Amino acid sequence: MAINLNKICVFDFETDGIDTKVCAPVQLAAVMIDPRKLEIIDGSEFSIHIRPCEIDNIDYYTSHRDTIEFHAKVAGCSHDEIMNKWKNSIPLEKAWTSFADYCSNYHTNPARKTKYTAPIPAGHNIDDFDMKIVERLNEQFKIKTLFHCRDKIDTLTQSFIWFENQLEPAKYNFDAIREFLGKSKAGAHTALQDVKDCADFVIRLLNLHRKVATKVKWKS
Amino acid sequence: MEKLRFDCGCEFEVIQQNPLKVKYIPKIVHTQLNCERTWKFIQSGQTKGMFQIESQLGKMLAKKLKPENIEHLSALVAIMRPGCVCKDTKVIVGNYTRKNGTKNLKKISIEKLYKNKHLYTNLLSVDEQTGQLVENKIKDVLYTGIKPVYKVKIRSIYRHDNNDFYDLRCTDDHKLLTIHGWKELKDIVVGERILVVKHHHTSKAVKSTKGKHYFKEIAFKHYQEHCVFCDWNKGSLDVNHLEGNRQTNNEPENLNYFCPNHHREYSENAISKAEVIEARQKFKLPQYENFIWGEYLGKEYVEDTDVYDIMMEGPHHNFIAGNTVVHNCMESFEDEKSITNHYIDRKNNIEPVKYYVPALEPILKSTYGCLIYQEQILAIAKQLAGFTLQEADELRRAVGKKKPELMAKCKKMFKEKAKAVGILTEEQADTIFDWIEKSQRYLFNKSHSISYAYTCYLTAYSKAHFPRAFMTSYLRYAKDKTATKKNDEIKELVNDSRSIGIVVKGPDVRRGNVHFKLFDKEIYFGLSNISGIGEKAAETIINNTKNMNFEKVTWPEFLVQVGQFTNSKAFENLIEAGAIDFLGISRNQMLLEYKQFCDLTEKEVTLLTGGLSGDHNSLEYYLEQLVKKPTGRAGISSEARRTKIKGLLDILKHPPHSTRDTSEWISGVEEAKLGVNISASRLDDNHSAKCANSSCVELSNGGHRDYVLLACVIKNIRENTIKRGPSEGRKMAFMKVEDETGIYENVVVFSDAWEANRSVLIEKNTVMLGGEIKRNKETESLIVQQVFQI
Repeated sequence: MAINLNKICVFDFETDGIDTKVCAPVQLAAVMIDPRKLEIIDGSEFSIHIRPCEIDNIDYYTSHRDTIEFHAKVAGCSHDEIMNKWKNSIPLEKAWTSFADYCSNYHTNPARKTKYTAPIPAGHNIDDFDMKIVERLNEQFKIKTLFHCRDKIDTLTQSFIWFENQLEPAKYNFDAIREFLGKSKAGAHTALQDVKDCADFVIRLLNLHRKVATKVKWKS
Repeated sequence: MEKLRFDCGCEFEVIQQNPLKVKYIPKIVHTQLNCERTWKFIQSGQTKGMFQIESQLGKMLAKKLKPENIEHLSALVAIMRPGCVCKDTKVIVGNYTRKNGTKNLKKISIEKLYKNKHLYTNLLSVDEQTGQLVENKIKDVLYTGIKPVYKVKIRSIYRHDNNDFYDLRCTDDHKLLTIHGWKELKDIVVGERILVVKHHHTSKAVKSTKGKHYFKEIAFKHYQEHCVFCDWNKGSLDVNHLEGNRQTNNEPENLNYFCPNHHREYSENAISKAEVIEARQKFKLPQYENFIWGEYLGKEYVEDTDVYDIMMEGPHHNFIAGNTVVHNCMESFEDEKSITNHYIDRKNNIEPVKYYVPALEPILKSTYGCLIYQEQILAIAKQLAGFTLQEADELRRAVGKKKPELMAKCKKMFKEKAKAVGILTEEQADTIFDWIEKSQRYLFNKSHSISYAYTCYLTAYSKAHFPRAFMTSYLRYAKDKTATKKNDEIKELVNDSRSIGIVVKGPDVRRGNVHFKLFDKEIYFGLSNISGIGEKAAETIINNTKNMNFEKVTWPEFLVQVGQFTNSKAFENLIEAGAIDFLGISRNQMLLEYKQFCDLTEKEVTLLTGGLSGDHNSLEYYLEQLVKKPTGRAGISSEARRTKIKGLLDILKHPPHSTRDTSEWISGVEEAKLGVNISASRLDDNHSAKCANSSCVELSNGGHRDYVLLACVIKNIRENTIKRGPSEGRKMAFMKVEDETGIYENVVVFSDAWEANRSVLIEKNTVMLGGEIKRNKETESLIVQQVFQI
C-alpha cells in the first residue's frame, strides 16, 4: 500500500555561507504537515537561532561580510546587531539535538522509532543544499533517525516538473515561486516564514497530485 | 458480623471496611455454582483472565454458547482445544512462477499474517483426497497465548534430515497429517510418516544420495520403512530389488523393504514375488505432485512463546506451516460442520437434538447428542455392545492413545458383541463405531474437563464479584509476558477493565507503588510498569519522594530532589508517562526544562538548590538567579559556563517549539511507555470528533441512534472479495475501530463505500464513520455509508 502516514517536516536553514561542507546554520525553522488532513499541525512550529561555531574568530566578519550584509538587509538592522544576535544564540549542538527531539515527537509509531517512521523531509532545494547540511550535522552529532531514510519532497524539483513548459514563474527560486503563488513577501527569508510558505506550497502540490493521480489512466 | 451482599445472593464476611477486605476462599466447595452474576459474565464474552477460555477463541465460543452450568462449561473446555503454531513459523499464502519457470511458494510468518489479516484472505491447503495444493479461505487467525512449543524434526530424504527446510514449531497438541490420519504431535511415534511439502534438494549431502544410494532414496519415497512381512523397522533394513539389481532397474515397482531374514528367504526363493507384491501394498505411500511423506524424527522443546492458530473456512481444514501440513483449529465431526458448532447450535435450539438410535439418548443427553467425552464411549460400549468394564477400558485406551491396530481389534469386538446384545443392527453398530473412530481426534476425558471447568468457574466467580482486585492482580502479572506481547496484554486488560466500568489510571509518583495497585476503587499503574523504568529505578524514585510534601512541592524542587538522582532516561520516561502531572506543568515543558537542567554542573545545581524558595514553578526563574551569581569559588566557575547557562536560559525563554501537550502526542507517548493511552486519546483535540453522536462502548452495548456518527481510529481492516450476488468479484471490508471508550469490532464497509473511500480507510487513520446499525442473526454491525477524514 502506497498511502503515506508519515508526517512531512518542511524545514529551512538560514546559513552564514553557501558551501554546504563548511557553512554554519544561523537559523533553523520547521513545521509539520499532517499527511492525511494535509494541513500544518497546530503548534508544530519550530524555530531556533543558532550560534555559528567560528563566530569568535577574528576574521569571521571579513570572511562572512556578504552573508552578514544579506541578513542585515533582511532583518533591517546593522551588521553589528546581526553579529551580536548570532553570538548570543544557542550553540549548534544544543540546537541540533533540540531539533532531533522535536522530530522524534512526530514519528508515526512513538513506541518504535525507526528511519521508516520518521517524518519525511520537505523544503525548497533541500536536495542540493539543506539535506547535505542535515547529513553533515547528523554525522557530527551522531543522530540516526531524524528523517525518513528514503522519501523526501523537494519543491524545486516539483516546480521544474510542473512549470518547465510555462512562461511563469520566471525562475525556480523561492522568491519567484512565492510571487507566482500570489503570496506576500513580508517576512521573506526569515526561516519560519519561509517554511510556512513552503509548507503551503507542499500542501497545494500534494492536493494537486492526489486529485490528478486518481484521474490518470496509468495502465498503458 | 457485617456482610457484603451481592444482587446474585452471594454473601461475604467483611473483615475490614476501609480499604474493604472480605473473607473469600477461592475453592469450589465455598462457591455457589449457580451464581447468576458469574454465568452472565461468562456469557457476555468478557472472559479475559478466565482459566482456559481467555483466548480469542474462548471468548468467541463462550459468547456463542452462552453456558449456563458447569456441564456446558465442561463441554466448552473439552471441544475448545486448539493446538497452535509458533509465531515465527511460516505459512504458505500463495504460489508464483519465477522468470526462469521454476515454481515457488510465497511464505509469511503466522504472526505477520495475524497482524495483516486484511491483506491475506487465502492460504494454501492440501486436498486430503487428491493431494493437490489448493487455495483455501481463511476464516480467522487467532492469537492463543503463550505455550510451550516444540520443533518438529522431519526428514524427507534417505538418511539426511532437512531441519532448515522443515521448520515447524508448534504445541504438542497440534495435529499433523500422518499416513494413519490426523494425529496430535504428542501421539506421533518416531518413524511415522507425515505429509510435508516436496523439497528440491540442492545441498552436497543430498546430491551424494543420488549415487550408489539412489534406489534407497526411491524406496524411502514410495514405501514405509518396514519389512513387508514382519514390520521390522529397526536398522539393518534392506532394500530389495524384485528383479535385477541397482544397475538395471530402480523403478519403485521393483523395490521393497526386507528385514535380513526375509531378504535371505527371498534370495533363496522361499518367498515368491507375488507374495511380496501383495504384502507390500499396505506399506505403499500415496504419491503427490507437491507433497511427500516425510519421516518424523522426534520433537525438541524450544521455548514458551506466543502461538497462533488459523481457522479455515473449509472444505479443507488444514494449512501448510513450516512446510508441513497441519490441521486448522476446528475439528470436523460426522459431517462438514464442526463438533463445536453442532454442540453450540443444539444447546441454543438452532439445530434439533437428535439421537441416531434411541438407546443413545441417556448417554448423550447431557451433551445434546454430541459425542464429546471418552466416558461416553465407555458407556456406549458397555450398554449397547455389552462390553465388560475391562474391555470398555481397552476401547478407551485405543481411543485415547489413538492406536490403529488396537482400534481395529476393538471394532471387530464391538460389532460382534453388539450383534449378540441385539440393541443395534449391524449397520447401526458400524455407523456408531465409525463415529467413535472419527471422534477420537477430539474426545476428551470428562473428569479432566470438569476440573478445568471448575477452575474456570472459580476465576469467573472471582472476576464477577471482585473485578477490581482480579484485574489488578492480572495486570500485575502481565509483565511476565514476553517484551513484545507485554504491551498488547496490558492494552487488552485495560480495555477489558474499562468495558466493565473499572477506572484505570496512569502512574502517579504520589501513590508510591512499584507495581499495579488498587487505590480507592481505581487501578493505578506502578512506576515499574513504565517502559524503561525497572523495579530498582522505581524504588529509588519512591525512596526519594518518601518524605515529600506533594501538595507544596514545586517542579524545580522535584527536579533537584529526584531528577538529579535518577537515570536521565528513566526520569524522561517518568515525565512522558504522566507520573508527575500533579506538578501542574505540561509534560513537554518539563522535558525541555529537564534537558537544560541536565547540562548544569553539580556545583551549579548546589547553587540553584540554595535559592529554591517554593514560590516559582519554573526552572527559568532559578536559572536567571544563577546567571547573576558572581564568578569564582562561591559562584559560577567561569565566564564560559555563564555563557552556557545563558544559552540554556535563552532556550527556556524562547522555546524552539511549542511546549503544549497535544492529545495526539500524549496518547502516542503513553502508548509507547505504558502500552495503552490513559489520559488522552488522539481524538480529544479533534474538533470534528465532537460532531460524533455515538461511541464504541455505546455501540457494543447496543445503545445507538438511527444514524450513527462515530469518530474513531481504525485499528484493523480485513478486505474480502464478494463471491456471490450482484457485487460478485468486488471488494468489501470488515474493520475494527477504537476510540477513548474502547474497541468496536463489527464495522462493515460494503463495496460502494469501500471503493469510494479506499484512500481514507487505512489502519491507524482517524476518521468519522457515518452509517446505520443492522442486525444479522445475533450480531449487530455498523454498516458504513459515509467516511470523513478528521
